[in-house]
Amino acid sequence: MSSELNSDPQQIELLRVLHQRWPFFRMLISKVEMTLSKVDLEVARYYVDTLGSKENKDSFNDIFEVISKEYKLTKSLILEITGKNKLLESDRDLKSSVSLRNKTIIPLGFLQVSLLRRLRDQTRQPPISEFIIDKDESRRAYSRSELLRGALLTINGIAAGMRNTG
Amino acid sequence: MESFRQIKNNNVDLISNNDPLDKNRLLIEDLWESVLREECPGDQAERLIQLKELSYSKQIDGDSSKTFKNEIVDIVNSMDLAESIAAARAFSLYFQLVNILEQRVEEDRYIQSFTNKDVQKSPDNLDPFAPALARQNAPVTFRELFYRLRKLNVPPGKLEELLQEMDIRLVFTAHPTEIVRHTIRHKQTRVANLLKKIQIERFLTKEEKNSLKSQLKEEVRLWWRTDELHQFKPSVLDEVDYALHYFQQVLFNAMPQLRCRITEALTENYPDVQLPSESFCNFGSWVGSDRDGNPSVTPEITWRTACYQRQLMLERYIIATSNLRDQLSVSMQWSQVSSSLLESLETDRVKFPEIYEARATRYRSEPYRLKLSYILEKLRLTQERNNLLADNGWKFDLEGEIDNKNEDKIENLYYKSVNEFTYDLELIKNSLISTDLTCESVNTLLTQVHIFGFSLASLDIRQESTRHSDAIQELTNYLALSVQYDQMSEEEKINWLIDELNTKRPLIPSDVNWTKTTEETFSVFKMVKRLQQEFGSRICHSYVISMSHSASDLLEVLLLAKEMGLLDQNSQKSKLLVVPLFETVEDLKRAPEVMEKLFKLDFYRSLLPKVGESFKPLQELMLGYSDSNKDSGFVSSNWEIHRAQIALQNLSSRNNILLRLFHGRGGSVGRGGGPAYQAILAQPSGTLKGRIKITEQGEVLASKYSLPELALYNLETVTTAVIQNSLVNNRLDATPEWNQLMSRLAETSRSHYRKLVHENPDLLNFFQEVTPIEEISKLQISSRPARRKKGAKDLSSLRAIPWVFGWTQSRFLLPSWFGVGTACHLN
Repeated sequence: MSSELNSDPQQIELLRVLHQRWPFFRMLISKVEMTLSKVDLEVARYYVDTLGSKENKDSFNDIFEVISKEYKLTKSLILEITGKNKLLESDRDLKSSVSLRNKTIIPLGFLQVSLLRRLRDQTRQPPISEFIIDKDESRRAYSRSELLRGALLTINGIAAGMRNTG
Repeated sequence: MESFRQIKNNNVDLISNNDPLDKNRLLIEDLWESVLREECPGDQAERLIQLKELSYSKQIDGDSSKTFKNEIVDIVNSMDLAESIAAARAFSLYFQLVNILEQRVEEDRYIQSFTNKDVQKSPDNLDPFAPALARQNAPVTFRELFYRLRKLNVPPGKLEELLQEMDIRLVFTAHPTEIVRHTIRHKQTRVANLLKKIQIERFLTKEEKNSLKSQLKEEVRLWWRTDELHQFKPSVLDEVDYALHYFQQVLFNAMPQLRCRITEALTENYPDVQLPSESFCNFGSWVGSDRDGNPSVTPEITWRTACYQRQLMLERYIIATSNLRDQLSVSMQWSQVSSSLLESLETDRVKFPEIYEARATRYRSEPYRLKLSYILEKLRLTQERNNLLADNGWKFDLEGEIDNKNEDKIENLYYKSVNEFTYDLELIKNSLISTDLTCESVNTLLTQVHIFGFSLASLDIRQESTRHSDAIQELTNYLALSVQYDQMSEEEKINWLIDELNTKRPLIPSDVNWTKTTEETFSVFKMVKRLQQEFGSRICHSYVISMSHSASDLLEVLLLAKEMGLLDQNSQKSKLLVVPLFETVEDLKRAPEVMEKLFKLDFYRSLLPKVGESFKPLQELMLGYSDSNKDSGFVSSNWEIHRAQIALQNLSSRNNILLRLFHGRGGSVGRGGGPAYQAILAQPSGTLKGRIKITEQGEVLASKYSLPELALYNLETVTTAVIQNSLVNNRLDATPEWNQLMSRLAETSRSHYRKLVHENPDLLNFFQEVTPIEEISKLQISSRPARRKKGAKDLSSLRAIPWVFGWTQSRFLLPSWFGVGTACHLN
């Protein structure tokens, strides 16, 4: 990865020394490492694809690309600096906890997107009455307050799953 | 359950069989599944369980993740709203159970670290060739630390000097997601307690274990049928109640234990070193007093918060005092008592003839019980007065009212300050000592009184700097000064403010109809004065100015304080500690220059409180992690705070001023979060000197303070980290090559971050559409609005909490890492 990205080997070497010896820098890197381990760009991509409006599609894709590129770069450099193969390799307990959470939390993210989408669709086209019939599936569409309540439940659920998040 | 176990077996790397966390996780999984099976209609439970299995088997970095993901999306999209809500609740419950479990396991680990007598064999053993204290970055207990210090030949005198100066303040703040109902919180505690009982399995019979398991299930089923959300927008007082929960449930009892632990560890390793002061670790709170952009925090609310806090303390003390009265049945038939105690009984008799009448016969030869009866009466009267204060509000002139009614009784006999209560308790303690007795409960109570007083936690006022300049502008406009305040240059402002501070004539005329905002700005100061008169200065004496940019920002607050009688010009004493909060990268860079200007002013210096044995002036100063991170990204924010600290410490030393740095950290990494001990150990060496003030954000309170041993663990490791960092004297922070590199990294990362966040015109739309930010702003989950200005949709008015929160929900977590890669990559 590093040769491909052309990082300066001397600088990397110095950063590794800093990581070993300087408490300030070690703290910095360990926090970045911890956060990166909680990032899930697949889920993030789904938020962009499903919630981004059509007219913004291109500009949003560009932004996502910038973020995704920086994520890969950051992750590879953190691994080089810490000399590890995987994020959180040196903290087994944290790694196992984060990995369990990262997996189990996925439905909550998708649920949130689905509720936000329904909620925002309603805002864009104000319903005639609180309860309208969904034409396609002839199932009940829901009032804003119910959808908001659902969204709030997913927000609290993700906060509980991600811990220390805001 | 099957697939979890299968994965467990296939994934040896991930999970080992001996891990206590894993064994208990199976317990939680079983519990969760069986509750869903009983509570969900039809085959909903099976669908939800399957959904979790499916997510769990998603392989990280594997090719198969796409199909798993699509499957999950399909399931989720096919759900109607009722099932979506059930799923959200089910997964939410799952994580709350996992959180409880992890807290329990962490607590156990801490307890084990105590019972492990072999400090010497701890894995991070001493490396005689390394600068041992600087290298050590794991949390340690008092015993381990003092042992290590002794082995490193740290002289007792040096340690003692540090311990005497030690002052650790933890300031509780509110967070939008943490307004969990008390009902739910109590359920969580019950679940944690049941888990604890099950975990000590070797002492349980099979029947007992089964019974505990069914109780556990019963509890969670009740939880499932409970509304987890408030059906109304929480008020500020709800948030106060939430934050104080941890004091009530855990901290009151934990603090005396913390003292015992430091005492024992010190006696073991440094028997001659004097103990730190009783209140070496104490508490503050922002809930109910931090206004900065929260219009619901009115002077009345702060007043009621203070009354509520005192009410809680008085209730505790009344219970403790009556328990003492039960216990201290010592009779003069069998024991001596001190003469000063007997004399005080005479004084009390004159003041409280009714109590004497009622109790004297019963307690004739039991002087401690009689004394404690008088104390109880005084506490009761204090409570009565507190209720009057709470009911009538801060503007009410209680003295006038009481004079009218000629009821001087309450006025004279209640405890006017906590010192009087302490004095009474000391009388008892000393009398016991003089007759060769000790009583643990008296010591415990005294420790609590020293730490919590009658105020529980100091309330810091926080207000944005522009509120003060706006008020002064309105004032100069009203007074029709030749030069309006907003027309003055910074130098002119400083000169004008100092002139006004030095004149005795009042500047603010009364009976003027100020705008509502200005009236409120003034009222806060008046209310603080009333608070201090009634509760003593301890309840509220710090005034934090957010978004501080310049010296005039501080002088404005001092001028308003002077006008409202919070500055005594004759004795040159300020009853308000004015604390600037520097919170953008620009302001952090400018902070030393701003403070230098102030330190050069004799007038300003003289207003600083003098502390410690050296009687040196003390400046408190706050560094903001949230806004600097939002403004410039993670590396730049952390680096500028680091540099500002060093520069400010050097400046203060040159000016012979002590510095207390107040770290405004959030819970998440994007707002300065992370383990507290780690953050403290990473502070530049030489900047702490035993003194630190840190925010404990609402969102981390539950994970740190909901269980007693966990709370002690946090308090102990924070304290040892402060001691350790203060004793380290390394020059690592001064390595020029490292500093140059860091400055470059910070600059590159800042410009990369700003290019995306502040310069890309589409980013704001992106953030608004692909995160739940707008819904977060609309949802009634906090008393504070998500934006500083109403209706504004720009980035700058958005508060840091929703900024980080939004990115976290959609799993970008961008504020805590974006720019780091580019910075480390480029030379």
